[in-house]
Amino acid sequence: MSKAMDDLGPEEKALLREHGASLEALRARHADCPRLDMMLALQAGVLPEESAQKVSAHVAKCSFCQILLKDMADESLLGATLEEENRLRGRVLAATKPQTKTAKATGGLFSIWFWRAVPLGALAAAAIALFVWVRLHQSPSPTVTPVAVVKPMPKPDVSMLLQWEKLPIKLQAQSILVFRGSPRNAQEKYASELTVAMTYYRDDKFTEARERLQGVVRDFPKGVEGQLYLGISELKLEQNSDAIAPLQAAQKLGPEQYRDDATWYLALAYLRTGDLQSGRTELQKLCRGKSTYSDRACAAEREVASQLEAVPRN
Amino acid sequence: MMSGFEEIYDQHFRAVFRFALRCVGKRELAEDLTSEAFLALYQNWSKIDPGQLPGWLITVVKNRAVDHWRKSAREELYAEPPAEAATEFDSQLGGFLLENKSLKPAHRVCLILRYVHGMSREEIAQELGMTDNQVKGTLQYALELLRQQSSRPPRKASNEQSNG
Repeated sequence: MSKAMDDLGPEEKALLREHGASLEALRARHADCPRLDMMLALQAGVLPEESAQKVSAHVAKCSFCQILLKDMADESLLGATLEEENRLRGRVLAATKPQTKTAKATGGLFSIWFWRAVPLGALAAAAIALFVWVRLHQSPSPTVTPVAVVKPMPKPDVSMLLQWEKLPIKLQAQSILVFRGSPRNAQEKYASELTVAMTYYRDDKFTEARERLQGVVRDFPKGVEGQLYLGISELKLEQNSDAIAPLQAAQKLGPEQYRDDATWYLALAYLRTGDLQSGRTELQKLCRGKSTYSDRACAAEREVASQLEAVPRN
Repeated sequence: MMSGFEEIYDQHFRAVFRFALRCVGKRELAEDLTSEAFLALYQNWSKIDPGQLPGWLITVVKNRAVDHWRKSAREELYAEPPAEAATEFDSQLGGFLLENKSLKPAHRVCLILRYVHGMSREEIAQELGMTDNQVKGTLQYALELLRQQSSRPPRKASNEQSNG
């Protein structure tokens, strides 16, 4: 552990001038305090017995070590940062994927093609079935007059969309730059502001997240993450009309992965404001694509279509 | 399997990381232990009952942490405790660090690591998972508190009571 502080700021120099003697005395008396990691390990019960006894004897008599340990139990100091969460998630999931491939490879060439072919075949069959189904249902039948035509326009009730979750945090590599000190350029400033905003988003503090993200979007209108998560935060706060503009921006800006997310939440925003037709258009985009939203979007689109058909036509 | 594994990961990784950090005190090492625990879970996926989680993960982390401390041939990085700890309160600074109610845990930890353990801002940032600016801001806030307190008359009663 370094005992040299060569990065003293002006306030600290003033502190030294005023309390220099007592500060030196304090530090001299605690020059041999156990390292923080050892004290934490003692508390967790993972320190070997001999070390544990010595550290324990020290802590029992040292006021600073006691209070340090007590304060270190605070949630704010033991939680993973957003940066750590992203890094850890990447590590774990990346390490598990190659194993899946290896396991499949042991089955030989046939099994690779077989397992690739089965889901593709199933997907193709489902797509054909869906296409036929949609065409059949889109064809107006002159002999049938739906009773629903005379009903008043229903409120948007798309159950599959209303049971929605916020988008998990996923940031592009350049948006989670690791840096020390003040941001040196625009990219680092964007990363810095975004990281703070996303901490609130992660903790479901959408009012604070929106406030921060509005700042991010104001300063960096071309940052896709800022636009996307601002839109979702607005949705969480039931500010559905306000969600539309940032989600449209994210949809235009984004690489494909964000575009699909933005389209999904944009559809939800439209539906919540009662604009079923625009919502349906967005759902159709997703339904035609091959994203993780495709199935849900197709099902929701059918539901919206049935509601639109029930609207009386003048 | 992957989607089930990801769900389990999302459900438990924060608690596992927190526990790992308590065990080893170093954030990078805590990341390693957390990652190793989940990889062990992945490899034993078919044998583990979800009802055993997160206890199973915590046990893996704990065992690895015990190994880590056994392997770490850390010599006497600590010494006998100070003979008269109570004299900390003789100094205004010591009293401020130990007693000031306006200090949040993060503030006090930063102050103690900085001025008692003599760590650089960068070292504190690494230790606590903060940015350098956050550490700087925390120290500035705490020093401002100390400055305000210095301008008030000392509270003798409080110091004497704490010496017991």
